[in-house]
Amino acid sequence: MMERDQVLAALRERILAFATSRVSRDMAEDLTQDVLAVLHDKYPHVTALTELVPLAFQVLRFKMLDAHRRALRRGEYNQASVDELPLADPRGDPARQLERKQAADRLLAGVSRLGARCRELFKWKLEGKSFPEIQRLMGQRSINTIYTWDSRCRQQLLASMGGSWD
Amino acid sequence: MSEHELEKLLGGFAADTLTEEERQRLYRAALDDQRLFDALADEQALKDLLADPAVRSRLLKALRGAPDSADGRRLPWREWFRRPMNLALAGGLASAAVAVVLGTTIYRDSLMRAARESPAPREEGIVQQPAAKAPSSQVERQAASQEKDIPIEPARPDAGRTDRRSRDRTADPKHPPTQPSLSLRADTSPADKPVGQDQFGETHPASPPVESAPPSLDVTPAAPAAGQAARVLSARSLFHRSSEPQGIMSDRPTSGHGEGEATELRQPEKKRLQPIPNTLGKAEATARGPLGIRYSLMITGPGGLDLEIDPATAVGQDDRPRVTVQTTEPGYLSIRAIHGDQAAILLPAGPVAARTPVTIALSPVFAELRGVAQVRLAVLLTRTMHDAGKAPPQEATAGLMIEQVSPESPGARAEQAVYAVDPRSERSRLLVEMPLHLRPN
Repeated sequence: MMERDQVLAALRERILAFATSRVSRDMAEDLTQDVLAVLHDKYPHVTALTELVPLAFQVLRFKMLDAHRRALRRGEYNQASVDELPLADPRGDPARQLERKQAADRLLAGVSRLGARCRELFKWKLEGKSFPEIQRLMGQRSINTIYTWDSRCRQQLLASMGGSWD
Repeated sequence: MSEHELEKLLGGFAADTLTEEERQRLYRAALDDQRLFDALADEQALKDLLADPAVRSRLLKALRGAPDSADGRRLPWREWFRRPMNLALAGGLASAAVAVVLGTTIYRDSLMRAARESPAPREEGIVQQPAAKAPSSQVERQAASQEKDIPIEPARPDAGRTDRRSRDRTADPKHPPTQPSLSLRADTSPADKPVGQDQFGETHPASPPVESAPPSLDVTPAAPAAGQAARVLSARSLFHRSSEPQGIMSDRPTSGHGEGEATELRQPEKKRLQPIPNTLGKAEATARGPLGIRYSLMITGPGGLDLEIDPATAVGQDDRPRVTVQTTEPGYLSIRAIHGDQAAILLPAGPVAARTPVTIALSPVFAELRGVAQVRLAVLLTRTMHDAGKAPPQEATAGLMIEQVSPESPGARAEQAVYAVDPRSERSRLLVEMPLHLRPN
């Protein structure tokens, strides 16, 4: 069982590498620091690996979206601290709600362009069915076939949405 | 972690279908693997979207109402036609249906056309053998005599489909328009001829007294070639056209003369082409068509099969030759074999039904005209018994349309026959001469 500090240390390394691949090094370090600060300050009670890691993904995503939005709006990065921005409930932000709605629309459009097999597979996943259940529904002998199909379908969906889920 | 395991965990991450243990393995692996971490970070956006119940509901609704569900739900018919494969299938089926309808129509039309143009009925199993080219024959000379009084008739579309080997021999430069005159004095009366069975054991009826007067047949020099108008209508097509129903007609002359029935050796053929029975009991037809005959020479081939051969082929007695004659009209038919001043009656004048084959054995020719290499068969067809009782005409009927049909000709039917038709329907008698080449045994 990894300790919280060990998890955060590993997370910092992964988040910095991930952010560096998307933005500049300086901004990536700032983003990483911001994410860890939020985790440290706002979610000190979250210690489990299975909770801390997805929370880190979520915070990281919001931070990157904010940074991206500011860069688009102003042409430069906001020097104000992002710590003061609300992160817990993004639905309160009308801009974020709009972005979310647009992303949902694009997702619906992307799903409608998928093939029958991908749509069926996606539907069963949304219905909460496990891969073994989907395997039986699709009449496949090997569950690895289902895994491969699912991976390809997600790639197709991502491509149909322009290469980004957002 | 294997590739499939990774795909499985990644696939369940966004949809949030992983178990607690799977999530533990996934996140631990993500902390050790940067690529997996990056993948999960990218999938986080989708996970957030799908975590929204409203978005999830919309997606499910859209997916369950998808037009082409794979779980067996029936699709709207309009969606069915949007698929290229279905369109191709529908197009193929439509094309096949059109082809079947067209094919059926064409086949039916061809059957009807074939029924109209069908040649004289022939016995099943007869094998056609192309015979050697006939030398210049009396038939051709007879054809050359047609010149005058041939009505101008419009060309029939089907006339061009039949063999035209001798459609109009009068125009054939190889046959000069003039031929030496032949004269026949038949001094043999029917009473002098044997009555009984021929070599095939088939009965020949007693000869009627109609041939009591020695016939005299003279063939005059052939006339110049016929006009162009005669070429547009072949003898064969005229023969079969005249065989079509023409109102109330009698197919059988009823004033037959008893014992003088025609010798009809080939009963199956007769049955197959049995004409409409005469319901009126009249001897004469109320509507008269042109007089014409179709004759063919038959021998017994290998295996006992009857072969219809070129009428110009030399035959011997061992060939068991026979001549088959059909007529366009009911009437009275007689056949004589003539050589110089000798004559042998092969068929005394007797009633014959229209389009009914009458087959005559030629064995009397070999018996009575020994040693000759060529004879002429004078085929006389009259409409009435009264005409049959008259002295035979001295010469062959002029102005006949004669056509020889062979199977090797393009579009020709499997027949070896000669058609000779008098296009003038007012004639009451028709005399056709058929050359017969004999081969010494």
